[in-house]
Amino acid sequence: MLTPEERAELDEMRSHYPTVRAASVSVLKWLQKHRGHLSDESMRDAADYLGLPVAELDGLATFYNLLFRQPVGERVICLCDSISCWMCGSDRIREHIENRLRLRMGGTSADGRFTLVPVVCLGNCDRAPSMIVGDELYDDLTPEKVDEILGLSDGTNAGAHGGDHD
Amino acid sequence: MQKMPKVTIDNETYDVAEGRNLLEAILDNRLELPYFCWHPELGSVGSCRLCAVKQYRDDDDQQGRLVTSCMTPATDGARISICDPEAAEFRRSVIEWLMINHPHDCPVCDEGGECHLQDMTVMTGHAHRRYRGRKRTFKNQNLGPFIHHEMNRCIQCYRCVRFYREYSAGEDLGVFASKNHVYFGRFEEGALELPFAGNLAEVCPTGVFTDKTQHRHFTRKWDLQSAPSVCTHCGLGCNTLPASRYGTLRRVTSRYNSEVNGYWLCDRGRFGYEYVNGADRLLAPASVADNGPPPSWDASAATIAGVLGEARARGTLAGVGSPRASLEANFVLREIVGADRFSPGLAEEEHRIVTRYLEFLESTSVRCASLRDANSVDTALVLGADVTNEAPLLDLALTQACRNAACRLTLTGLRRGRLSKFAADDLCLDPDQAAFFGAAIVATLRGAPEPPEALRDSLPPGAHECISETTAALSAARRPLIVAGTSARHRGVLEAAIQVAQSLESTSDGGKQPLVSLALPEPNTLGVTMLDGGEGPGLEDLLAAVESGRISTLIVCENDLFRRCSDPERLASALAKLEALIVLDQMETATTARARWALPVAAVTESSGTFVSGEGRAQRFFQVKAPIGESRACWRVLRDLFVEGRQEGSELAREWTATHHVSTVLASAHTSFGGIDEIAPPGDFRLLGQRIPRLSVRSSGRNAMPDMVSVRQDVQPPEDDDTPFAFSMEGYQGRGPTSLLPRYWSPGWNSNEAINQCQIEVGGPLHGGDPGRRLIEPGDGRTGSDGAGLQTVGVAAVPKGTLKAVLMLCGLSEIFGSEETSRRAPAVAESMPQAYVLLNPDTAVSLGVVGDCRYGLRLGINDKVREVSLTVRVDETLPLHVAGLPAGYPETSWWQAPCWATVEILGEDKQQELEKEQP
Amino acid sequence: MGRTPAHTGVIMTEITPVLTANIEPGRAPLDCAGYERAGGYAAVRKALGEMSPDQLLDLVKESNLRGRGGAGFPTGMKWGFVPQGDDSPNPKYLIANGDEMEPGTFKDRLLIHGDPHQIVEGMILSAYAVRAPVGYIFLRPEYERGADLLHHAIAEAEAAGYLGKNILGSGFDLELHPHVSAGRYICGEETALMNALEGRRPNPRSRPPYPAISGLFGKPTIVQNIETLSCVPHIVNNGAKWFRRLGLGDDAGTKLYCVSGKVKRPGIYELPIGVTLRELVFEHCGGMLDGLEFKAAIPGGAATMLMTPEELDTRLDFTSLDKAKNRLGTAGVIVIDDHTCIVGISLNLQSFFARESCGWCTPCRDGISWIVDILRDLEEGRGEPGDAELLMREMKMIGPNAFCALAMGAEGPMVSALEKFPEEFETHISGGGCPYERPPALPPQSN
Ligand SMILES: Cc1cc2nc3c(=O)[nH]c(=O)nc-3n(C[C@H](O)[C@H](O)[C@H](O)COP(=O)(O)O)c2cc1C
Ligand code: SF4
Ligand code: FES
Repeated sequence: MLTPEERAELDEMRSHYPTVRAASVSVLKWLQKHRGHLSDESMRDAADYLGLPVAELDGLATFYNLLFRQPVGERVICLCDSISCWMCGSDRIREHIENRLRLRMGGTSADGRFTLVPVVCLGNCDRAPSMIVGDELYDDLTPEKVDEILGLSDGTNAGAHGGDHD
Repeated sequence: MQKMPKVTIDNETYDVAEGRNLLEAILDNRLELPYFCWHPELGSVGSCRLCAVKQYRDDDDQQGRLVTSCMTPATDGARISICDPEAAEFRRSVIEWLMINHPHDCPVCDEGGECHLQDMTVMTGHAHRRYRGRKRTFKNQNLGPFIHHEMNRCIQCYRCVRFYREYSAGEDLGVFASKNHVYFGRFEEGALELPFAGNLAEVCPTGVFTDKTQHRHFTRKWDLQSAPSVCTHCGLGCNTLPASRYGTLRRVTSRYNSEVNGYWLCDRGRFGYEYVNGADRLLAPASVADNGPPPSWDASAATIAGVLGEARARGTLAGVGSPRASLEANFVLREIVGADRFSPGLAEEEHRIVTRYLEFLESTSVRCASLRDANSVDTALVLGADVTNEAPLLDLALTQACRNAACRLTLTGLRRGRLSKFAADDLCLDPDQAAFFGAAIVATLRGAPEPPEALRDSLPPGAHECISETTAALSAARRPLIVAGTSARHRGVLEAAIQVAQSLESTSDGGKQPLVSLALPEPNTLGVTMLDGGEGPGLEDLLAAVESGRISTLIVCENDLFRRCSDPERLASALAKLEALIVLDQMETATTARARWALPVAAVTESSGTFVSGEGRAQRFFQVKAPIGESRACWRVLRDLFVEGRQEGSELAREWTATHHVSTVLASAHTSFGGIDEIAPPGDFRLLGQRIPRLSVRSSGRNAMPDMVSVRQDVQPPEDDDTPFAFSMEGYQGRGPTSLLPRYWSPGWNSNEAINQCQIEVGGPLHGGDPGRRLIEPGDGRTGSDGAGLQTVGVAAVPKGTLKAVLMLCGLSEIFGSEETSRRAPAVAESMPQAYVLLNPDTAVSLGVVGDCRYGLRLGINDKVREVSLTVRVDETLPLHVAGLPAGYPETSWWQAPCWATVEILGEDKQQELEKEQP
Repeated sequence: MGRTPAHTGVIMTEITPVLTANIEPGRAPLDCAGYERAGGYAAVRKALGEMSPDQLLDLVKESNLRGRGGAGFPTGMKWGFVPQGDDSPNPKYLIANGDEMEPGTFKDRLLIHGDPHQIVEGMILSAYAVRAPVGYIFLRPEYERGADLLHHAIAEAEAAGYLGKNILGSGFDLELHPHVSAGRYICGEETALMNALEGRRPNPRSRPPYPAISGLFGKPTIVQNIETLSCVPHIVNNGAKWFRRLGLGDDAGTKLYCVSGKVKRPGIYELPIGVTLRELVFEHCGGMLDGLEFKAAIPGGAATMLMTPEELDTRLDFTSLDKAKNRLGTAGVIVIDDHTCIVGISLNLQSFFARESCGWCTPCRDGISWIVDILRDLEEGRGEPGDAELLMREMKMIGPNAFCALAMGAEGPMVSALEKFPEEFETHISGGGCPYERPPALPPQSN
């Protein structure tokens, strides 16, 4: 259920769009931002709010790369794996993150702090490899820099007690 | 005539109708080109790319380029090639790409043998697999009792969502994800909500969506025995192709008729068939008196004929026909008992409504709308009817009319429903108010400055505006449609509808074609009313005659009187007074239970005959399978009684050995039925001296049928005088007249897409015309009534009382539940709501009840008190003063027309007592 | 790693910067007043004050401005397709395409974050020319901060009277709305973009009808790349002839070349359109990283064809690359070195296209993922003789026959790799897999 405050904020957003449907993606993004991911309940809330069939909204939610229908960690690491980053070693960065966080691409660390997902070109190819964590863009990545960004500089592995996830 | 565009296809020049695309032009000309995503009703979207052909710019262009034919207009002078090697190679590749993830599970797939994907694979010549990787797999969903889901077989043609969402305005089927993970299904598991979901099994070109009811008794298409038939689950007369094997009905699919149902069926029509195989069918003649082994047919016939003859001689015989029995059966019964002793067997109020409607149709130049007409109306007014539940496919037709906001729709049903989202005006009115609403429109159309005050005051706020807007729209419309229903059981509503249509007709200055449509509940409601011609008694009169002893012997044909009578107790004691009650029916009913003789008759799929649909269209249905047990075609049983009784005129009946003999007699005896003998070829029709086989050439064969018992051929297929069909695979192998199409099949086209080969133009009328004949056409210069007699038949005054609430009891139609036979089919039974009383939530609160709970209710109706136990359901769109009861439910069968009632909630102990009593 | 990327690097040689004149790395973009001081909104004053929409349209036609979003379609000509007149459909829409998700492309990022007012001004002019009262700016999700900057710029422009009702007394109204997408390459395709803006699944639409006739909400719509729009104010200020003369070859204007890959100084370079690949790589970008040789380059984002060392002297403009059966695309130049595997490059690119396929049409949805499968087999030692031919045949069948241009984009790099580097595919098949070190690592650099 949406709170009255949530409704008020969504109303503001909706006013920028000529039709309710046109506001759907923004509404979904907003819900995701405030609730971490788009749970079935959030999807129903959005459908209810917009007056659109939930199946239709889910058709959008499952289409876009950055709308998450599964629970994700506190910080989502979007690592670019497109051509320039790949050429400049994003695979090594991926392996490093996977080892440090004990997860696989697409997975969440056991402590629930991180989720690692691949993204396509971030438009930052001149400073490859690049990634986005949360809302921040990080580039010219090296394993050391990654540790620092993820707050792993003390040398311990995050999620050290967990196994692999998908 | 306009010059037709000419298109050169592989160096031959062809004529093409205006406005066609290249794919249509190719198929219209009976050339072969594979396709998936295109569908005549769903249009072109160009997603599958299978229909690629080479197109050349001009005569000098040798190179050409591949174009998607379904997306390219067939313009005059276009030059294309289907056989071009590059085009053929590309099409083969499309199949190869689609096959990458297809599971190749044809042996266990219900679509196998009639799969468009199989056909197209063969047609393109793709045979060798080069993909070496793994296939992706999906999870399937449980989509409810009708449709089975198997996503791995999907080839992403998007037809399902285009049918479900765009064409039918369904909401709960969607397309999810993207790239090669596109998924078609529901947001979460659960029954599909669209009452036309069954069509998915036909639009899906592969085995993703299949018929779940068929799955339980699966048979390959080539082993199915089928014949053309007509749906029996409402009065629209949709054309069907029921199919059977080993004596049971296996499925029903739609039979194309461009005037009626097009490609579609509703789920009641598609899945209601299983009652035919049901445990409650009557299997052998039964006699209460004998109490021994079942009497033989011959013995029964002789005895019964004697009883009938005696009663006739005394003048105490009467017969009740049925709106679900064929014209032929009703006719023979009427011959036995005489026109003045033949009741058509409709409920009292319904009988009056239909009779009035018929009288109107026969005297007006307003046209009675076909479903195809309804597809293209520009304004529609629905008066007091629930189109979705009463006449489902009319809903789909109106959806088409409204989809592009082209049709302006006014709804005045009891509650909001599926069509509401299209409605410009949507008032929830009780039938009295709906009648007032219509009357006010009539008044406005006829130039009254203001609708009469009395009319206005009875309507809810806002109605006044709706009236003027609807009136304006109707006046401006070129093809206005007025729809009424019978389940409101309110003559005033029909009268208003008639008068609106008539006023439109008389005030139009040409260029306007007003249309009417009355939703009728049963397949032959109009036919039996036409036959009756207003001569026979209604059920009330009949009942009175039985009570007074004027009638001692009653013969009832395919009718459960308890569904028609508002006082079951009175009916029961009246029937008990009879010397003899003879009931012919397919299944056990409350009426057969009281019969002295209950005689089993064939279901529609087990016999042949004629129905007249609500459109006034006479349509022939043909026997699909042998009758169950010892049952026989109803008209045959009656004919035998007729002949055996040796009454006057019965000698002629000796000659009636086949259905068409009866149809022919009927056609000449009654002018209104003129021509019904010609709607399909008679039973002795042969092509090259041969019958048309009900079984396919590829059928596993007669010898194999009883192979669990014996491999010899000991059983000869039964003879069939009624139809030109044979119960075998032998016979004429070419294509007969389209009214005799037992299945869709064409070389290379094993799926239902083979219908393309039978249409003059793909998606248009069938070769030789669509089957059936309209019996009532609007005449010129017919005098319409001037509206003076417009009665606003009101429900009698509100009773005074001290009980908790006074509510108007109104009937609600349920697509799953209200119809007598389909509710006995397990899949439909699973989908129907429990017997309920529907209240506005505020009304429920004032009665102190909550929704979705069972309560004991005491209803005071006209000094009578009735106690029932029903589930309370709430709907905020229902008027406050209304209590809705489901029509056609045994629990509420005493409801036959709107009435005021005092409503009181009973204590729990009382309720438990009631529940024990209820059926 | 010791290389010096050009960052929001604006390294100009030979001419004074045009599109990037107001952009300074590390500095916040100019506000409205600052932008006006730098000569901003003069073009709006001029056009709305002195020119009719048709005159503006003719000017842009004359300037030979071609779209910077990938297809290179002449901008003025496209505007001319919009039906005008009293009985033409209204409103008309202008859409700025800032989806920019094509690998190797990052020029719009610079313009959005560096000079939002220039985009607003470009949109006012373009909207005026096609008489569109509403404009949308479609941005990829990673440019959220850019959206904030644009919102701010729009508010400022509104306050200054450049947006809103009756702009500068011209009688022309315009409102602009940024929309931030949720991330999908296909949204950059103009018809898919319109579906995305309407809140539908972003599948492309069929053409005809073309967007200029029936686009967003069924109304005439012009979709223009951010860089294209940014050129318009300068054309108005300096004239068509000036703009045409900027180019070194047959094309007009300057061009933002975005260089990534194995060069010393990757970054964005605003240069006269028509520099050669050699000049760009070896002069502006300082050549290859130490220890690496130039092996190939992709000139215009992932969807264009590989260029070999023999092609280093080709001009990077529309006309020259068309002649070379290549395309300028987005001018996102990706430079590939001799330690990088062409099959690996192909696998990466095709995985991108397969993953970003919208799933609407068969060739793209199922065909490209098969291509990926074959390439992965080659890389992992499961290749079979005939695979190179299979790749070629399938790709040529997929590309031109898909519903939209995404699959055609996939075809370019794949077919050119097969044609220009056949031996790499052969060694993968005969040698049982990839001979290169994987994943590739950057060599140590001296400076
Ligand atoms: C798959 C695909 C993705 C595209 N992505 C973009 C994009 O991100 N930005 C862009 O400006 N144009 C993109 N385009 C090109 C647009 O369809 C369109 O041609 C362009 O925005 C027109 O603007 P222009 O004429 O100014 O270049 C893409 C095209 C395709 C086929
Ligand atoms: S080529 Fe086809 S599947 Fe691919 S993105 Fe375009 S429409 Fe979608
Ligand atoms: S039928 Fe033409 S593209 Fe599918």
